[in-house]
Amino acid sequence: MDADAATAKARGSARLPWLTALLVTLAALLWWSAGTTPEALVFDRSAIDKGELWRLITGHLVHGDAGHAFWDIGALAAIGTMMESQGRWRMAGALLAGVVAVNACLWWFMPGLDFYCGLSGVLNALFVVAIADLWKMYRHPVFLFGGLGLGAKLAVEMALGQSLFVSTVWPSVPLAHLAGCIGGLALLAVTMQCDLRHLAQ
Amino acid sequence: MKLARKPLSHLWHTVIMLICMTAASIANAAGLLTPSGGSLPALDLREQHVKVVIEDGYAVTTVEQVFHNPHDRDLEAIYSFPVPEHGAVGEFTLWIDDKPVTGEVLEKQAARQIYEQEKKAGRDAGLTEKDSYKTFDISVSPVRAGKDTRIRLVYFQTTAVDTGIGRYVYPLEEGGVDEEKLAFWTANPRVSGSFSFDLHLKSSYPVDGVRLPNQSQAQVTQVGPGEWKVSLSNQGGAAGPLAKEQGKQSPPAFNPQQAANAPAFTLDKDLVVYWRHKDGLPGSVDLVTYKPDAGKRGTFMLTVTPGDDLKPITEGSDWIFVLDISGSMSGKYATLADGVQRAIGKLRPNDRFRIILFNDRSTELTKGYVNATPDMIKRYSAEVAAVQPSNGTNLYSGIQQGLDSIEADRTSAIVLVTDGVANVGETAQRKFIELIKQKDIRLFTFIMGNSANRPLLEALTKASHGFAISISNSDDIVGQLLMAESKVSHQALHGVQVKIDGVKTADLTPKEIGSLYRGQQLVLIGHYWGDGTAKVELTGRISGQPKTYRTEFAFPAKTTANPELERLWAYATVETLQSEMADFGEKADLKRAATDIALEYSLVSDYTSMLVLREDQFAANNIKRSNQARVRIEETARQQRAQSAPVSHRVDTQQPMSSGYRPSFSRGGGALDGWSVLALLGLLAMTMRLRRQNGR
Repeated sequence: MDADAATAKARGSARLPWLTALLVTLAALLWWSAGTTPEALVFDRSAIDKGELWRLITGHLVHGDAGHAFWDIGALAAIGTMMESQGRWRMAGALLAGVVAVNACLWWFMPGLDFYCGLSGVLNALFVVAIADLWKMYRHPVFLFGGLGLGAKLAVEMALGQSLFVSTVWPSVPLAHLAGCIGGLALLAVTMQCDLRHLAQ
Repeated sequence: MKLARKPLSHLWHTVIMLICMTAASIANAAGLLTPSGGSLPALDLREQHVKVVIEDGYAVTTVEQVFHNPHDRDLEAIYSFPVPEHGAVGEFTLWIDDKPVTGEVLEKQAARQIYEQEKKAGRDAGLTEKDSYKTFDISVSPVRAGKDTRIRLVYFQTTAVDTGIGRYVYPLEEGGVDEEKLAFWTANPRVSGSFSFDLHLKSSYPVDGVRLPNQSQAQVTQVGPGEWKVSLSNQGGAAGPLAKEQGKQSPPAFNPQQAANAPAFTLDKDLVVYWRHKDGLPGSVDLVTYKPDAGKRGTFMLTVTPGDDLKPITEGSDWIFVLDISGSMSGKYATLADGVQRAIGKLRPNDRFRIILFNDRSTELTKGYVNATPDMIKRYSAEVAAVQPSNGTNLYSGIQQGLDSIEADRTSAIVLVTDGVANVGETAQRKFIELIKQKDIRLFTFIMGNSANRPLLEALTKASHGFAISISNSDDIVGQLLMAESKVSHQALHGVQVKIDGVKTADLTPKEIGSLYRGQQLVLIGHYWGDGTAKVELTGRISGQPKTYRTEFAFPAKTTANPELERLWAYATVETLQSEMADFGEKADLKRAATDIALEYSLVSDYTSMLVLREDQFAANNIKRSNQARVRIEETARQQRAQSAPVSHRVDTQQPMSSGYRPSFSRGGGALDGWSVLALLGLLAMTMRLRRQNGR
């Protein structure tokens, strides 16, 4: 196989968002099989403290009601499809950054919050990285507006203390959205630093 | 005493599951009563319309219903429904010759005598009586052959918010604990015509959701900031009067289900309504007053909502489950056994448990403390499952054995689960109080259904500085779980006292406040004289350390908006007197005091009933129309309040009593909305387009 063919194959592979499809399927299956706020899977502070560490991951994949699940999983499908074409590892890194940032926020900055579930905190990390990469690649104003829109939405949510247009069984946690964004920005900062070092070398 | 926190979410979840599942098999209901055996034909409950207004810290419930007599002879209608929690009946109106006639309150025996006399004479009469803590019974005679008879009942009750969640129950399901009554009467719980339930919530604090568990056809509508309406009807989902009045689209709230064709309504399930305050509200003090004459005595209701100052508890503990296995639990025992198995299965290995069962006598199943190892769980699960429920309820024996099980060097708590009344062995409240005070232990009581001996169980629990939670079959199990877990997993403020200086106050109820658990509000009702700035100090102890909260605010000279406060105070005082009588015996002076207050404020109580006669018969029997005048004042005030938006009664804004935020259920979700997802789809489409254009 020549170099061009290999590159084309790699690009083709990257364009098939199977990681996104896998995550969407997993979240949908969890919703379908475990239902609302499954006791064994949600972020439960005391259970995590006891050693049930899987909740740090599964808590982000389970939801409180049908609307909560539908919109979060729908957003994952949209952002994942946008982002995965930039690179699967890039997306995996953004997911990890989002999970770590949101969990850290819940654990250390919201000690009064004992239970949490839902994807949207992590989705904010994905979105920040995706929008930055797309802006860098295409320089189209729509991505700039997308980023500004996210900033404005977060500012309003933080000011109001609740998410906009959202009514779920468990109250929304705007700080988790902010944490997700910060996780995404941190990943961007780290990768930018690496790129600069690479260029310098 | 301290309690373990880590296993509690599972433990309480299981305990509450157990309670709710056990309560689920109670099938008695509110309805028209007919003597069993077919000696009299049954009447028809043709309509029932319930309107509830919740504002200013209390609920006013108006129940209007129509009885129909399809037979060819005049008959008496007897309608029975469970006593609402701390519900004070203040109005009973019977339509006579198509005109509403409001009842007057007399001593119980006198009211019954006059009612029987009128019934015998064939004249229209109605009577509302209270059957201790069990039911309100409405008698109407005659319901004319082939005709309808319309009645209206109004009752008031305070509506505290716990951990950010308000809860209102329209009680319909009877507990089935009065076997004699159940054997004598047959209840017809069906409303053959129209049923509607309309609730109007007016809160000065922002409410971000309203929910009716298990009522998928209910319509929930936000009509303004802090203002919500709930409508439920058997005439097709949102066809209730309030829904028609609003004509607005419901937001998803947190009761998003809608159904088009609801079945005919049966009065066998409580209607429970929850409302959720927005997270992040500050601790607060609210003052509602009624003082129509500046120079005379006024009535006030002070509601303290503390900030979240109570820290989580981390130490381990011993758990003593005291479970009711009396005859009223028959048919539910398999569920109970399953619940116990799951409860002990959730404990940590270093926690210990005992299981005590009681009916006519108590027996300990565990023979001492056992660790919750898999072997022990298996063994005791099988033993619990093998027990056959039967006989009466020797509650005293069960609690006594639970207390005998305590080891002084271990942190312990008793979880008492009962749906009935103490009817075997020691039944005097005073003895129960003396018993529980022998040991320093908290009792956490789950009061199941509407017919449990709530006064006894509440007094007992209060004496132990624990907390009692009432559970309806219609309750949201997850919500009740979080409520209980949040309390037992945090410190509590004990020995709470309130001191008010600067304005003369008296007759405060409750007299002894006891403990405040995480999320609980303190509601004090009392009298005051004059006006001006008052210094208010709330003191207590957290883990033995003194804690003081202070604020200052003004008591107004004159207010007329909330006349119902007078009856709320009166009923709370009557309940306190009844509790004292339950403790120390029915002393004549206490009984006289309770009767006089009920008569003065026209309240239906254990000693007084509300009687409706033809207008001329009120005069003939020398009955003053004092309640009629009171009802008019209350109706006028309600009409005026209905015109206004929710009114804030917060009085500590200048000098907040508590610096922290109110505790909430400590749960949250990362949620996105449809608009954001639509915007994302737009971005995705643009990305695809750019990708195609750029060939990458």
